[in-house]
Order: sequence, then C-alpha cells, then structure tokens
Amino acid sequence: MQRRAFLKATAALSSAALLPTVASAAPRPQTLVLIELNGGNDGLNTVVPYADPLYRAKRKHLAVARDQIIKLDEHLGLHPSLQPLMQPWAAGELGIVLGVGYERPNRSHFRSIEIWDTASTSSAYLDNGWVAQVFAAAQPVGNYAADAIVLGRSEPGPVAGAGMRTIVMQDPQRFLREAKHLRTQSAKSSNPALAHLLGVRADIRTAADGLSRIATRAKPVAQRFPRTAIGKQLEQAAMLIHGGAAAPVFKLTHGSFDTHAGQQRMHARLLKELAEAIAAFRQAMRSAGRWGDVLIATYAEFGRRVAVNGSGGTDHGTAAPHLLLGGRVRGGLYGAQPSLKDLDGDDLKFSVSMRDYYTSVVREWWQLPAAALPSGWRSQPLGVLSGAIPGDGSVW
Amino acid sequence: MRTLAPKVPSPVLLSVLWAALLTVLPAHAITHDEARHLLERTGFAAEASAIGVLRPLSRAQAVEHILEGAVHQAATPPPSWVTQPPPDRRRMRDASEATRNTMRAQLRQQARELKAWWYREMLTTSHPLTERMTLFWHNHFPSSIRKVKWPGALYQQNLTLRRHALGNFSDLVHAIVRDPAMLIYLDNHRNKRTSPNENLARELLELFTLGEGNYAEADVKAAARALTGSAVDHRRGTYMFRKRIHDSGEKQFLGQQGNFDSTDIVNIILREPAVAALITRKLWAEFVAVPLDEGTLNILSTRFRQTGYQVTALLRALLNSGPFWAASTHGMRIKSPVELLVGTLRRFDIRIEQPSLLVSAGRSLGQDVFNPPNVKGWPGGSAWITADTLLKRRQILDRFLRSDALRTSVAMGGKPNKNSMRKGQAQGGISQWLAGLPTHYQAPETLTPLVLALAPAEPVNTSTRDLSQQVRQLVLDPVYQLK
Repeated sequence: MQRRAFLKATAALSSAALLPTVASAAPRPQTLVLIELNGGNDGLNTVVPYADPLYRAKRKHLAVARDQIIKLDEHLGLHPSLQPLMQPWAAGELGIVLGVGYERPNRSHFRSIEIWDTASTSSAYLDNGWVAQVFAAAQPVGNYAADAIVLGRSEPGPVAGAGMRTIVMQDPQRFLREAKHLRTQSAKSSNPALAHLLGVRADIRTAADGLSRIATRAKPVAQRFPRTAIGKQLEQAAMLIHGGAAAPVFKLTHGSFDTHAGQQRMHARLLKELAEAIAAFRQAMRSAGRWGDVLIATYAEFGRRVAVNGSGGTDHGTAAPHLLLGGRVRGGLYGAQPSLKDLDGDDLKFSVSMRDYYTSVVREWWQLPAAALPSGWRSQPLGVLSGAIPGDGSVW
Repeated sequence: MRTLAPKVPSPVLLSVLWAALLTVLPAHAITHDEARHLLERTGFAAEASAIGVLRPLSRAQAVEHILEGAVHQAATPPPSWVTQPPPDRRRMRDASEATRNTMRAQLRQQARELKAWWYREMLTTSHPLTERMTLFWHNHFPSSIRKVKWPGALYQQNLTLRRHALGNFSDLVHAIVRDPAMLIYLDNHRNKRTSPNENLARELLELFTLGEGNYAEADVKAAARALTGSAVDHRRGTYMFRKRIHDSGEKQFLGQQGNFDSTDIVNIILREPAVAALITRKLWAEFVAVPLDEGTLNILSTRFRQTGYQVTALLRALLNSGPFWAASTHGMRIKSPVELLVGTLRRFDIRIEQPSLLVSAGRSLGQDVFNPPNVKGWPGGSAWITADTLLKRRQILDRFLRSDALRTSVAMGGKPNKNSMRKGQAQGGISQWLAGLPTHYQAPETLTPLVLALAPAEPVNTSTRDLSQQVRQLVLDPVYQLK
C-alpha cells in the first residue's frame, strides 16, 4: 500500500489529491521511538563476531562465552541477554545495522553525543538536534499534541531545537494533573531566561490540551511491562501511542553503558532490561494494531574499544551496531561488521555513517522528500524499511 | 598543537583598564533593587533584614560586605558515621547476600543523611556565598556518591571544596587530584604504570582546567602516566601514593619535559592562561549571567592569574563590574533547584523538621546533591526548566506556602502554638513572615520588588487586602524562577 509523504501544513490541502481513494481517510500517525544507549554501548559484545579468532584473542576474559551466543549466521551472534529479541528477529522485524559511526570520531561523551544528536561532522558545532533540523524543513501532518515527548531522566538531544515543541515528562498522568493549574497566557520577553520559561509554559498548555484528548480515547495497555526504568518509559510511550497522535517522536534513555570497569555483569543486565522492555512494547503495540506504525531506533555516542582495559571493562570507542525494530522493518543485517584486523588505531572502523542511518528514518520511515534532509548530509537510506520513498518511484 | 600564550598586558595598562572596567562608581547608597539583586545573586535569597543592612552602603562597600565573613568550615554537626573508616571491601565481597544487602542499605541511608546535612548547612549558614561557592565547585569538580559508594569520601570532598571555596583555585586543584572521592570517581585508583587509565587525566584537562583545544591527546596520555600511583588507602579512606605502580619515567607534557608526578602536572597546567579564562567564564556565568565579551574576559582572567588564582579577588572584580550592576541584568538567571528550595525557605523564614523533604524535592527537580549526572556536572541555566520540572517547581512551592504540609515549627526560640497548628492554618508561615516585615513592605508596591527580580508575568490581583494571597501569587508567578 502506498503511503503519503508528509508535507508542510500549508501544502496539506494539495496533498489531499494524492490520497488513494481506497485508503482510510487520514494517514495513520507514524511514531519514531528513539532509545539512547547512554554512555556508549559495547557493540562488540552485543553483536558478536564469534567465529573470528581475533575476537577471543582481544577480548580475553571479557569475551562472551561461545556456547551462550545466539547465532544469527555463521559469523555473527547476539549476546545471550538479547534472547527476547529473537521473536521479532524470526518475524523479520529486527534490523541490525552494523558498524554505525562517523569520520574522525571523538571520544568525549559530551562532544560525541552532541555530534550524534545534531548529526554534525566531527569539527562542526550545531545548535539544533537532527530531528529539529528535519522538522524545520517538513513537519509530519497530524494533530499532534507535541513535536516530541522525552520520557525518563533524559536530555532532549535530537529533538531539541528552535521551533520544536518538545515536552519532557516523567509520567503522563501526573503531567496532565499538574498542567491543569497553569493559566493560559501568552507573553513574549526580551529576557532570554524568561522567554524560555514562558515558552515551556505555552508548550505545556498545548501538549496538555492534546494529551487530555488522547487520554479520554486511550484504552489501558493490557501488556505487563518490566518494572525497570526503560520498561516504564516504554510503557508510557505505549500508552500515549495507543491513544492517538501524541507526538511523532519519543525519546527514551537506557544506561549507563559507560562500562569502564566490571563490564560483564553490568552489560548483561543492561541488555536484558532493554530486550525485555522492547519485547513487552512490541506485544503491546501488536495487540493495539499499531506495530506497523512504530519504529524503534537505538543510538549512542560511541561503541567501546576492542581491547579490555585493566579494570575488566572497556574504554570509549567508535563504531557500534544499532537496532531498528517495528512492523515495517525488513529484518536482517545491514552494513558490514567492522574488521578486528583493520583497525583505526585501537578502534573499529565504521561501515555505515550515522547520517545514512538517520536518512533511513527520514526517507523510508517518514517518507520525506530528499529536500527534507539537512544540507550537507549527502547520505543514502539503507533500504531497511518497507514502503515507497517519494521521488524515485521505486517500491520496496 | 599547543596554542601560544597570549601576551600579558603590562601592569600599568592593566590598572588603567581595571579602573575603566569598574566604571565610575557612584559613592552614593545602592537602591533597594540593587541590594536585592546583589543578595540573590551571591546567596540564596534577599531577606528583608539583609537588604536593610546593605541599603546605606555604596556598591563597592556592599560587595565587600558580601565577600567578608567567609567561613571555611561547616557549622552544622555532621552525621556521626563520618569519622568511621570505609566499609571493608573484602568483608563485603566474602559476605553472604543478606549481609551485603544490609551493608548496602546502610550506605544508602548514610547517603541520605549526608545530603540532608548539606541542606541543613545551606539553610542555616551565616555566609550563604560560601555555600554557593561550595555548590559551584561541586559542579565544577563533580564526584558522584552513586559511583564512589562510600559517603564518607563525599563528605571529605565537600569539606575540601568548602575550605578552598573562597580561597585559592591553585590549592583547590592540587587538593582535588589527591581527593579520594575524585580518585575513585574517575578510576584513578586503577591507573597503573602497566595499564594506564586516562579518565582523570582527560577530565582534568578537558573539564577542570584547560578546556578542549588547549591540549593534545598526547598530553592526556602523559598526564595519565604522571597520575599513576595517586590512589586511595581503602582501609582508611585517605589519599595514598603507591610508588610501585607509579610511572616515574620521563614525560612530555604541554611542551615541558621531565619525570613529572601529579603535583608537577598541576603546576604546569596552572601556568597556562587558558585555565584562568575557563574559570572566569564559569564564574561570570554563575554570578553575572549575561554574555561576556572577549575584552572583559581577558582583563578579568589575566587579573585572576596575576593574583595567583585568588577566588575572592576574581569575585570582587565580577561583582564590581558594570554588567553586574546593569538594570537589564536583573532576572537573567534561572534559579537552580537548590537555590529555589533553600532560597524560598530562608526568605520566608519557613523552618522544616526534615531536610530529607528538600533532598527528594531537589532530586525531583533535577539536582540530587552529591549525585551529579556525569563528570560535566549539572548543565544549569535553561536546562533546569522543562515541562516536567516547571510543573514540579510550581507544585513544590505551593506546598511550601501551605505550611501545614511541612509541619513547620512556628518560630525559633518560641513554643509552638498548639492552637494554631491544630486549626491547620494554611497560610501560617507566610502570615507570620508578613507580620514580622518592616511596615514599609506591607503594601503590594513594595512587596513585589522584595520577592521578585522583575515585574510579574501574570497580573497580580491587588484588589485583595490579604497580602498573603498576593505573596502566594508572586511566588507562583513564572518570574519567581528567576534571579
């Protein structure tokens, strides 16, 4: 089925002519759920090149036991904690993008996450998150309560920027209860601190109005979610998505993956929490008939060094694999597993650029025209999602 | 590649520029609003009595008044366990799961008590600037109780920060690279000659002193080697130099060559002009909170360096600057959670029985003391205000104003009036405070500039004679979040 591209609001009327007469009246809202693997996930122990003798040689006691690895093919396997993801894998709904990174990688948490959040080059400093940049060119059509919702104890990152109505909330019900007390009030100010305050108030009011409409429509999510931080965030996202057009983007955080010491147990626990929460979320979305309208995409500031350090952990690295999950994902492996022989110093070389990874979201998920991509990206989608990309006539 | 050091202006030129920077200070007394501004920016709140003390003074005299009387030790007695040695790691490792859980629970309880202790100190200190600076240094040299685990280490670090808060930045850096909490937080206790760990070295250069662009990766590696051996005696929880794992070989660091140890590294760093610039920028942002032009930065940071990194001298310069006193500067800074909570209680004389309420309130607003989010500290500024935290701030302030929720004691030194408490006087705290104000404040026109730094965003209902209702409106106004 051909889906409509998102267009600027002013062009919405002309786009109505493109609607296939058979399709339902309004397009179903598509939701991106970004999950930041805060601290830098160790990709090498997540998607393991178990058949490569260099893996065990370099990782020593930190290498994942061979008999525990969940084999995906003759070369790569998954960390055992990711067992709950084997259902979506078998159903062809899990895309694993290997070796995602960028040129001249920076190993500072703060600088590198800034680069990932803004999709800048290694030497450029941008003010707006990449989602904000895209939305500046083309906004998803829909009566969304907000442009982005940030859950958990999380920074807005990719969804921060001029023109973005981004709501940070820990608990939707509480948010609505408290928002009722704010009096509607428009006010501008030349004082930037006050302007920020008033802007956030205005966003709260708008979001609260939209969300309370959704709250009246939503049925409670029957699925049980794990009582972990990431479990709670995904549960809240599920609730809001189930009810309707809350926001086109949700941003969640899981971590900390900054495993400089004692990595083995910590990493296993973090991956387990992630997989269990995602599995519950998938179930909830499938029951609600919305799994085809949702895309989960992970990202992180970097992967980790190939070698183990002196404390049973790994230091900041570079390229790492990331996960895409959803009903429209064409499951499988994308990109190329970075070589353990051909390194960049002590680190893995990337095979898929971060911008190409994002471009799949922009062009294949939201089906935006190439003009919506921020200037200078010069990137290509990966072919990881099903659906037509406008402008090139091909159907996947 | 190292950037070349900028040419230092001659002392004569510096004094001339200095005089120009101070602008021609009027010798007449500061205004009410200026006094409020100075007190709020350098402390937690502008109490009416404090404003009264400053009123007869000139700007320069008022600044001196704020700077003098610095304390170097906390007056609040700490929890009793701070003198105990750290938990025995071997015992913990070999103990049963049940024992380990008990020990962990005890550590968590101690962490709560430590945070409550600091809040108590902030609420009662006679010198709020000392606590503001201690908070500032805690944010500049972050260590987290979550990673360090032993609260005693964070307590000791807090004492170190306070000792040097208004002292000498050079002494503070030297102290920090030997601070057990910091050494554990940034893994330096695992930094060995045979397997270096760069964490402390990197953050020392990137965040604590020079800033990105003022050193090379090779300098990080050299510093890491020099820092090997700076470790912690885990039985006593004190600094220990482990000679066996120290790399005493020759290093190249910031253009110098030698068998450097941690003290040498810090001394070499402190010769770089970039250090004074970094600290000056941060203190300007903290206290002045308006854009800083390069010329002013140059003058201030050069002077800071010339005084040998005397913090008080730098603060004197900032607080006497034209931009600090400009009327347009008022209300440009968003109160941090701690400033909002402590400031509100101090300002309205609200006493609370359990500082633990403040601890969890601060955490819910994004500032869990002794537990910064990462080694960069709390970003601050507009980052404090999100949809979530703005709503929560309002909710918490609302509860403060309904003093029955906090079981306030009525007044220090007086017996609690059982009758009024039983009646559940909702506005007891505020009415009490209003009654104690000098009469000239007891009117909307004078009450507003006492409570707010700017005109309120929402129109205040002045028709009501009930001033406590008005105070409530002012506190719940968005402008109350600013100072």
